Amino acid sequence: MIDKTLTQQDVMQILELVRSAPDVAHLRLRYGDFEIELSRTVQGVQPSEAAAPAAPRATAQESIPAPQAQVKAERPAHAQVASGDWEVRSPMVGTCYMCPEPGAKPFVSTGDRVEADTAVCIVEVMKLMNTVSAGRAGMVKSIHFEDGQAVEYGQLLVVIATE
Amino acid sequence: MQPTGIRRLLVANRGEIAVRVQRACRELGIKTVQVYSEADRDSLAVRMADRAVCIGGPRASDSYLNARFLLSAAVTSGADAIHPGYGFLSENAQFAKACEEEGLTFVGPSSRCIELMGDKAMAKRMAEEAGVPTTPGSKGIVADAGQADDVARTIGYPVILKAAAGGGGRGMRIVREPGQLAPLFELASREAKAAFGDGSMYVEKYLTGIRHVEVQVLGDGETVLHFGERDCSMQRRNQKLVEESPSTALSAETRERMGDAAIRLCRHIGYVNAGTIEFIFDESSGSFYFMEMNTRIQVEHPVTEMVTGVDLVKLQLRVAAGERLPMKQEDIHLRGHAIECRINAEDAARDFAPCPGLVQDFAAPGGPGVRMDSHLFSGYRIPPYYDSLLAKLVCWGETREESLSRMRRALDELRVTGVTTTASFHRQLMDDEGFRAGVAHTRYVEEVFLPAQEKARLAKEGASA
Repeated sequence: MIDKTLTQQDVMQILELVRSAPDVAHLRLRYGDFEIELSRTVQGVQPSEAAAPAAPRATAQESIPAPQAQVKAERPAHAQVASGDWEVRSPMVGTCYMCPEPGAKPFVSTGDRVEADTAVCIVEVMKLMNTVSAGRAGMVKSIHFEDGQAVEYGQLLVVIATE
Repeated sequence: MQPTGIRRLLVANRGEIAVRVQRACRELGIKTVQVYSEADRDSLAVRMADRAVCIGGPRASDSYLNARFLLSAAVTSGADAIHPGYGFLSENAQFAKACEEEGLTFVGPSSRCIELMGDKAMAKRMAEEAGVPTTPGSKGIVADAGQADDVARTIGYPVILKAAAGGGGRGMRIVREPGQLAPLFELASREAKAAFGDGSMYVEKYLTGIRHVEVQVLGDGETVLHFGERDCSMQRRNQKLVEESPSTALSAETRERMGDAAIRLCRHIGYVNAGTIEFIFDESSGSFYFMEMNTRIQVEHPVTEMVTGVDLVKLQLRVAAGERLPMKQEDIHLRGHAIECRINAEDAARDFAPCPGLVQDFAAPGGPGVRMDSHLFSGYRIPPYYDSLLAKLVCWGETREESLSRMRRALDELRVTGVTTTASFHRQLMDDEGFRAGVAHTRYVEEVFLPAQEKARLAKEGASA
């Protein structure tokens, strides 16, 4: 049955077809050595595109943002990636601080246990301090910013291993 | 590369004007920081910039209209200047003031000038003080219909009754005869009270068959120069579609008087950096009247750049950095003719309905005298959150006829597939007999061109039925 290899162009066409079909929530296609899985999420989260090679068996995963009329304009302070991991992302553009005040103990360190409402850092925007909380209970897996670092909206700050 | 006092500039805008500002920065050796909303992550401006900072969600209120986020992005990225582009916060006096307070160079006039000219009644008063002709009408608010009638008899009918607190076409009534004035006055005043909480009215002469002619100015703190006019009469619902320079209706003498009036107004208010003074030009009488002042760089600035040979955005940056304008008024000449067509993601056949979507294939026209200012690229997805301007196609020629012929060629060469654009609308307008002959007034598109197009379309359908 398989008498041709999928080209990059074929893949782009498939992606475009699915993108323009608003009632498709999930698609999995296997074609010879090639497999692609697409799922549509409701949040306006930045899709993470992985390359889709046509040769040895590979899985391509892409999250397609919902048809734009449905995209919620909420700040993605949190976004789930791999199962069990919860990403805490900056809700605003500003300066990220590890400690409640200079010289104090950091809010969290790697390995700490946190609740959903535990403060993990502060993002200061034009002298206004905004506390960022964990969002999920779990353990602080990794910290991705340095104290006093300039951060942008949506920038990854902390990863929490959820329980 | 010419060094300026600005090292790193934050582009507080998006789309084609962000690209435009970045190009000027690059030529001047200024580093660029491009802000963007989530919806603009894959935009040309973001790709072009030295650095890009995401400032918020797709909605303008969460991003490009949020002064705090813009300032935060500037401060945390080490920018020493901000260019606000046009629209968004470019004419927001509080934003300009906040930049000033943070020690950031705002590329534009002072917050005081923005505030002054942003108040339409105040702006008119400034014009009067500077000896600039304004639309005949009442001196401020009229107390009642009786007073309105006195004014109307002095200036002559028809008149238009306008709400002092108004806008958006509401609280306005055209009065053609004296007998209609009292009832229409009460109606308009009540409407204004309901819509704006203030029923105060003023009266202006209602002019028809008028052109919208604007003058480009630039001040450096000591000198104010004008760069000629742009005729922007081709409009639909008060949105400009086509602009050109010079205006086919202006004599050299009128041009000089208009330019002098524009400079007088700027000097009177102490205007610095780029601005545009809009006039109503009454072709039948040859008179012009101040309408309003835009205290920012405008969408159609390339038209002036093409006929004067001047780079207005670079001048903006240089003036903001403290430099003096490098030319004198006698050095500025309008050479040849330039026309700009605004290409929007709209369907002219469906009442100009917006059509955001994926641009599959984009190819810009080229060749002599053709300039394309755009943020488009093949594969670009037009977000639905912002205005529908895709590109400005500007064509220059030695004569108006040549610029028109180049525009026709360029519109035929332009390729945008995947979305519907107004390119075909413009192509038809470039063939219109009246437009080719240089006829123009602010109602031309809506009252002459579009109805003629519709008539032709129906005739064609009838013929093939």
